[in-house]
Amino acid sequence: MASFISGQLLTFECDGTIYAFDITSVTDIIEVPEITVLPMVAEHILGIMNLRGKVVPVMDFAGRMGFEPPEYDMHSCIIVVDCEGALLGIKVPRVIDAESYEKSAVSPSPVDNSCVVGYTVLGDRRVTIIDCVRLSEKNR
Amino acid sequence: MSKFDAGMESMLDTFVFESTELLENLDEILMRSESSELTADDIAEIFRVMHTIKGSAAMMGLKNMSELAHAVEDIYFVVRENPELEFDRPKLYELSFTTSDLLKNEIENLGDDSIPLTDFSEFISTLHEFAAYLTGLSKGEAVAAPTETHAIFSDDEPEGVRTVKVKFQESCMMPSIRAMVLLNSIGSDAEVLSTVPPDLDAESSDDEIKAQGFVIKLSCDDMDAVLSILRDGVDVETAEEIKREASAAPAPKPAAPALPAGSSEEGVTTFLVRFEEGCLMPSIRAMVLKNSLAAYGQLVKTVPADLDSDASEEEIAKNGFRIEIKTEHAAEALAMLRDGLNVLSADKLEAAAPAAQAAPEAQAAPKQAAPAKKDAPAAQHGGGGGAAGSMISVRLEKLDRLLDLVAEIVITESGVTSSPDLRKISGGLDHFQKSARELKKLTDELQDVVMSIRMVPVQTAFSKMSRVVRDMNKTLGKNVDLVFVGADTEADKSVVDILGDPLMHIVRNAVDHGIETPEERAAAGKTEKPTVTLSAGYESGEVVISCEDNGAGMDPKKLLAKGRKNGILTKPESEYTDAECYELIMAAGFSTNEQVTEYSGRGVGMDVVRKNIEKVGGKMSIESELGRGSKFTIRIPLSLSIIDVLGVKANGTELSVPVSSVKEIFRPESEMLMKDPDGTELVMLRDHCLRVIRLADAFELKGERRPLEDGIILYCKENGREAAVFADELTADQQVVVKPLSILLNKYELKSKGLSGCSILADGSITLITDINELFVHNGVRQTEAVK
Repeated sequence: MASFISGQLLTFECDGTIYAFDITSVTDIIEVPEITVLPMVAEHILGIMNLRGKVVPVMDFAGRMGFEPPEYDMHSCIIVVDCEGALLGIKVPRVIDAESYEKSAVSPSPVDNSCVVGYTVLGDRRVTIIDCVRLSEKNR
Repeated sequence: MSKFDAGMESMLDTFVFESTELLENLDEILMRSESSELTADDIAEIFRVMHTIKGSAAMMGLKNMSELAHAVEDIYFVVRENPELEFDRPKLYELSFTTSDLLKNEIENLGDDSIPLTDFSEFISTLHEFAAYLTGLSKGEAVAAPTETHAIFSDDEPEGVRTVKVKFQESCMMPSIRAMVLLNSIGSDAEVLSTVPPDLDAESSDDEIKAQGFVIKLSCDDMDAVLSILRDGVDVETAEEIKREASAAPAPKPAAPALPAGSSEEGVTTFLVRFEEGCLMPSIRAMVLKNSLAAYGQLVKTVPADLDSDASEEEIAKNGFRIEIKTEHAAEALAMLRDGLNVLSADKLEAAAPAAQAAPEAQAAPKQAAPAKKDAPAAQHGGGGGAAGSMISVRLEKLDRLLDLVAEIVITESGVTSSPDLRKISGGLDHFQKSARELKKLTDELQDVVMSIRMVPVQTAFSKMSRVVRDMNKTLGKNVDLVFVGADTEADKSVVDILGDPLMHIVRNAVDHGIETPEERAAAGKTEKPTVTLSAGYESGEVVISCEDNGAGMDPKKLLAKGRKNGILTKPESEYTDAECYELIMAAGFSTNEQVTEYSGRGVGMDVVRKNIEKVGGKMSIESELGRGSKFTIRIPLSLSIIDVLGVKANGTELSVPVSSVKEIFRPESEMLMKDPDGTELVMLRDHCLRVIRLADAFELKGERRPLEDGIILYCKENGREAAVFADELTADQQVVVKPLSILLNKYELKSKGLSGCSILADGSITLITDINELFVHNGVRQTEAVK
């Protein structure tokens, strides 16, 4: 019955491409707060932030994907995702929208261990769906 | 199927908590009295513990536990009643300890439905045998006491006195108690003049009743009613009136015993529930049913009304439990009642003529006899836990949540009082400032109180060790004394909980490996008693727990050899200091005992112990002297979550150094500074030459390299390692709530590089907390002295 299962995606733009998280894994979308720099970590880990009393690490999406540093402006924000119980903030240049999609219309990524779940088309744009647990480099 | 009565799940936690506490209490009493004297108070207390467990287990529907407790209760009953009795005490203790273990084990497995309830019947029969043996002994003693048969009929008996003889079943455990109950239950229908035997409290009464039956002299109007009450009594075989041959008794007046009838009130349904004969505490079962019934409608009345009274027990056993309820779901309610535990039958009673309504009232009457009896157990309870009324147990998670909330409040409060918007307000803020100060005072106090709630004495962790040592003494024959020092030292509940397992390992090791056998001690010329000392105390914000034995001590050479054999040495043998040799035993895969014993020697103990302690920010160290004994010391922060830190800045980054690691803070003068030929920066502090560790370098913080004279040096010492930690400036001295770093950052191994966690400060900013020990280890600071 997979063809009838649909969900919602939170789409965002980075490096001219549209990416998305399944909305069930997103807990917050917040303005970029003050981020405390963490030493001795990879460059794409921006540091840690205070999310209502919880200390949450923040990752730069572009840095994680290996893109050129994008321009951050007032539209930039942090998407907080729940990676199997651990929260992770992901800094993105801009969030677009929450849009419905059909899971059957997703073509899965053929690459093993990729942080991309698959690709789908919304309207006339291709959307790359990201698995936040893979993205978080958890268990590695 | 669930192990316990449905609807009791919510009570499970309380039951587990209370029973565990009671069993610990029991262990303590047993331990204390085993080596000295079993006083009457002790027996009463053990009796109370078993009684309470019996009751609460029965309430939970855990029949096996309740029966087990009952069997032990019986034994102690005999012991209590015969204080002079000489008997096999070791056997008594063995049985008691086994019971305690069985019950503990059962309680532990309660939550797991996959483990079936244990069948204790075999052990219970052992207990019964012992009880019989004790009873046999007490009989022997009682021979001296006057057991001559009391004459049933005296010559000067006034007229109107009637005599009833009750015979109990052979299996009846304590006929004297049953007899007493009977007397109470006929109290309303007849006036009891005397009984044979006269004193039901006497030792011999049980045997006398067994042999000759129980004779009651009474005067009454309605003999049949009295007889029917008596016949309905538990374990009663026969009850009949006996008459003196010569005198003719007046014919009994006819009066039909009241038949149970339902309430005639409209809309009210009446149920009568009878419980199985084997049901231990019908009043409790009744209460459970009553509570469950509340879901079906509005309870009007129950008979007996007061389920707490002792008389209710007998009444329910005899007359059943009567419930009147306003309900529209009578059928469902009836089905529920029938499904209840130990329920023999449950029937709906039809409404009867109003005249018959008096019957239930009469049935309730025996209740009047209750108060006198009730006093006794109440007094017992009072003796056991005088403070019980002023104590309350709370789930630890709730306290944790409270602590978190308070921390948040403190942060938010300072966010409000130092809000940037306030600056925009022109004019005085005097009133606001005053209120803000008040608020700050209150929140500070609140924080203190919440912290103090969580403090418990380490006694709880210590007392469990007595049991461990006692058991080992029995099997190893070492006769070790366990001494406590400073057991009233308080620490955070979570700290005390964590201490349990490590202490167990250490104490076992001390008794098993540390203390020599009596022969070895004699050969070594040691005259003092083998002793293991557990001590606790505070030292600079930490709880220090040590376990010291006066045994054989450890031989560094032997440890090294063993380490070599097991291939766990990491550097040339000649470089190992004694302290490092002792540390070997905390390495994985090390066991010095040649033979693996029941208690230790699997070689997994000490490294697990160390890991567990380090996990919670504690430290463990070992001292030893060959032939004199060893000392294991554990240091754990008072509270796991809140620590005192010094805030420092290094290249603009806020870092916090735990105050407990810092010995001295000073601003270096240029004449104190040196460099060794390799360029390593050194500082002379009095006669100490210390390596300088720049926090900025250690944590790879980008920025300008500041001359040492412009900064500040924290002389830190951890675990025998010392160095001068250099930072740009000192910013604050504060208390912080430590939060671990997200598990998503695990792969960067920040903890082993010296960053143990982080904390949110009052203004909402985050500070990183350093772990000086890890920092030193990671940066190759050598251990310069033995760990104390």
